[in-house]
Amino acid sequence: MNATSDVAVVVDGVHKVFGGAGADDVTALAGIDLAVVPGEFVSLIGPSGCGKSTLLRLIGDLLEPTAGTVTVFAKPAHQARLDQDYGMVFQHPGLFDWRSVAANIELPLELHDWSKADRSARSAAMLELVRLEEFGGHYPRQLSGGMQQRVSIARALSFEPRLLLMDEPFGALDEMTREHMQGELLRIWRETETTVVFVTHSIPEATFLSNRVVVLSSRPGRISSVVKVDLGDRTDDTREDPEFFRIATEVREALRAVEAGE
Amino acid sequence: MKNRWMKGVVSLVAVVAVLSTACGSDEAAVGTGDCESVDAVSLQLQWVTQAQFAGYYAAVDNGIYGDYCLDVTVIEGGVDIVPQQQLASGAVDFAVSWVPKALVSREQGADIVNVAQVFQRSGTLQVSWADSGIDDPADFAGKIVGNWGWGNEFELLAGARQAGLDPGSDFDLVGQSFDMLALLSREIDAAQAMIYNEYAQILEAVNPATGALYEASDLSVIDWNDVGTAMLQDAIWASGSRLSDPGYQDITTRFVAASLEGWVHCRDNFDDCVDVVLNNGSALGASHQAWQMNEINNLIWPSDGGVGMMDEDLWDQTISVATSERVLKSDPGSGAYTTTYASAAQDTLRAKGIDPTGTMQGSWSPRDIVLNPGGE
Amino acid sequence: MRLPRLWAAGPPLVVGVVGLVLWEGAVAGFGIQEFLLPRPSSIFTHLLEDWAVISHAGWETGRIAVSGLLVGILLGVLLAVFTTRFRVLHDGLAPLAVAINATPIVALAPIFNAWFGITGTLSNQAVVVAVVFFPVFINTARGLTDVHPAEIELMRSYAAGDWAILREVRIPNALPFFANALRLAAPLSVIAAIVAEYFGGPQDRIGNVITSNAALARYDVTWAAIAMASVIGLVLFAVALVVERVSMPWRFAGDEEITEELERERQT
Repeated sequence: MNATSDVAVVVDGVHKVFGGAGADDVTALAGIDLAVVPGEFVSLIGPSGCGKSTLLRLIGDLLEPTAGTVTVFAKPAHQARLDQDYGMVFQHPGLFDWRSVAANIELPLELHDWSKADRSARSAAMLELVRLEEFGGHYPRQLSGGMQQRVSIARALSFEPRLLLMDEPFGALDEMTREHMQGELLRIWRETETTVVFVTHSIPEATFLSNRVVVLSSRPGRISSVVKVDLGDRTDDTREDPEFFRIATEVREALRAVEAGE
Repeated sequence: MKNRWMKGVVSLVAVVAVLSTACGSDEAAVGTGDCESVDAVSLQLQWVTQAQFAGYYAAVDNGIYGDYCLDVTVIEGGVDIVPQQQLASGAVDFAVSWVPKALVSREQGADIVNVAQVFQRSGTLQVSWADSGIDDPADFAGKIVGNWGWGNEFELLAGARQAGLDPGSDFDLVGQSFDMLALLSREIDAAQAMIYNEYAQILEAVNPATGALYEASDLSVIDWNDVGTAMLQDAIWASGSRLSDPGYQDITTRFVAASLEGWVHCRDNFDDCVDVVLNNGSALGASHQAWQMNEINNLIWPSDGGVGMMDEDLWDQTISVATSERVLKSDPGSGAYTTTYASAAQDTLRAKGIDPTGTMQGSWSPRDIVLNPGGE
Repeated sequence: MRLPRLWAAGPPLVVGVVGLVLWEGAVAGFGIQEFLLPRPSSIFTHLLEDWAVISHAGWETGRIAVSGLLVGILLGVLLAVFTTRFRVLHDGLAPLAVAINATPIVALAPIFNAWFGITGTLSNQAVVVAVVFFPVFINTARGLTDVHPAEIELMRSYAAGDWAILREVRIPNALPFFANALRLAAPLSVIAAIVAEYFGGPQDRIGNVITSNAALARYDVTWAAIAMASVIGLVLFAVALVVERVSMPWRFAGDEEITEELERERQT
């Protein structure tokens, strides 16, 4: 295990330009500086096209920055990906239809040559973590959307990454399921002590989940403001707490400022 | 005065008698032109235009049918045309068809009758290279024997069984196309051929070893007529139901006589008939048609019993092979053919001074045909 | 794996039996002549009478169909996998595959006879391969490439290489497409084998039994041979269904979706 670094993710002066040089290119992100502390829960929020998903993918080394650097646990993002230092969860669960739930969770472990015994033990533990112990032998199409998303989270955490990157993972769920899943996610976060970078366009969701909410502007994407969220341990009652409303309002105003400024 | 009047009456009566004899007599009127009316008649051939049907074309082009007061339309055959079915359905008045195939249709319910057996012998051969040593059906054992299938294989199967072999297990049966390519490439040991067609195709091909055309001495031939399992082939068939009608009977009488006279013409006027066939649009070349004309003549002449007369022994042999090979379920009986019309034709031809057997001195002898490459 | 529900085979069986009874009745009732349409009982009788010939012919034709089917599948799948890796080759090969597929069997058969000879089985097997190859190639290739981009992205997030992606994503994704092609190709192989037999070759095969007997208007034997050909085609089709069933268990798992509510109810 690496020496504890005091920074989990460092994004330094990152620009991302799509398309060729000239009039057709699109500057998705310009001059992004961001540092995430280990164990932190950071949300990225902003209007459509602000590049939040792009930023997430840059951190995950699924895209390369046009300029600037991305460092994850004191390594270049590329190395961190090869070392499997993070897990990713997307809006669609992206489970493989042809694998059982347990086999889906074991996929990254298989790709890294874990033994069968180790894999089985780990997938059982993960199923317990996401409270789906009885469904290991089922196929994804037999599960509801929310349950599939939990499997996706279990899969992302199966190799105990220190960083979890999530791109609107609850976007496709109904409100009640969504709130339930938010609670579950926080429980898992506390139990595993992972660092989370979470992309969303829901103000209450960002406020409920995070330690910090990073607000991005669009065209080009820049960090407009950062809102600190001090709400202590979140419970179902937190959503009805006046302090929750105050912070959510702060985030909303920051967003309005971003949209007005265009 | 009474004597002169009497002489006039007698003369008048004599003239009237002579005239009425001339106009009223059947024998003198048939086949000599002088038509009160002309009957339109259609004939369905078994295959495409070639010397196999020269007699009919010659009868049209030389006005022979016209002499018999017939206007004949000759219809070419082909892959999809079944002549005896055209006849049975009433689409045509007469058809040329091989005896076994026509009898199968007859057994299925087609009411047709053989009115003239034109070809006296079968033209089917089994051809092999001289060095293969296949001179007799018994030599098929262990060999690859080609045939055309589609109902053409029964003389071969009967001949093999007669020699004590079991087709399919004692030797291989392979379906071949209607050419000699599989034999030329030696893919098969023996190929089916008509003596007047496919056999010549080998003799029209160049032997790569010599640079010249293949010769008959390069080949070995099994003739089913010699083996005794040959079946009768080209015959003229008429509609059985219509033969009870006197008008159709009269037409049939004239049609048979005229057609047979056409075949005599091709016996005695070889070159003219080759030209007739070529002019009617045969696809094959001149030397090939000459070969075919010669071999067709060989199948017809000599006709010891008279051209178009049924050879009873060969009819019985045909039925025997057909029933033992299960081509026919049972003997069709004597109603399947009649010699009435061919017999009348003999008399008509003789009356015109024509030899109907081809046995008279200088009447018929086979020719030496020189084939050109590709049959041109 | 669940046991097959046997009573699911009920409806087709009932339809089949009723169909045969109607056929038998119609021929007798309407007095249809045997050579136009024989009765099923008559066909069955002749099947038994000529069993030695027809079963042998069925075996000969069947083994040509099966061997051609297997080679055609192998070729189609291998080429599909290969051209997925090298897209340029796929774009070059696709028009050729279309051209082969457009060539009717009746044109291929004499060509292959000329190339491979009429004795032996190679020429007819080649016809079967040519006919089977195309649907297998096109469908499998589509299945290998028609993958959710998200699944590829996921694999890349695991630092997985092209080979792992092929193995874990593309091939399983292609299985339903392959199964479709197999269901098409199986009966097609029998048809191709029989049509090729119309163009010459050893005569102890179904195609020849059909043509020889049809030429003599012995339609009862012809139909018996056709029945044998149908049986072979059906057997191969059934094998295709079994392959599909066995290779894709996830498709046939239970259908009830377990909703969140049901689950919460279960936990309380």
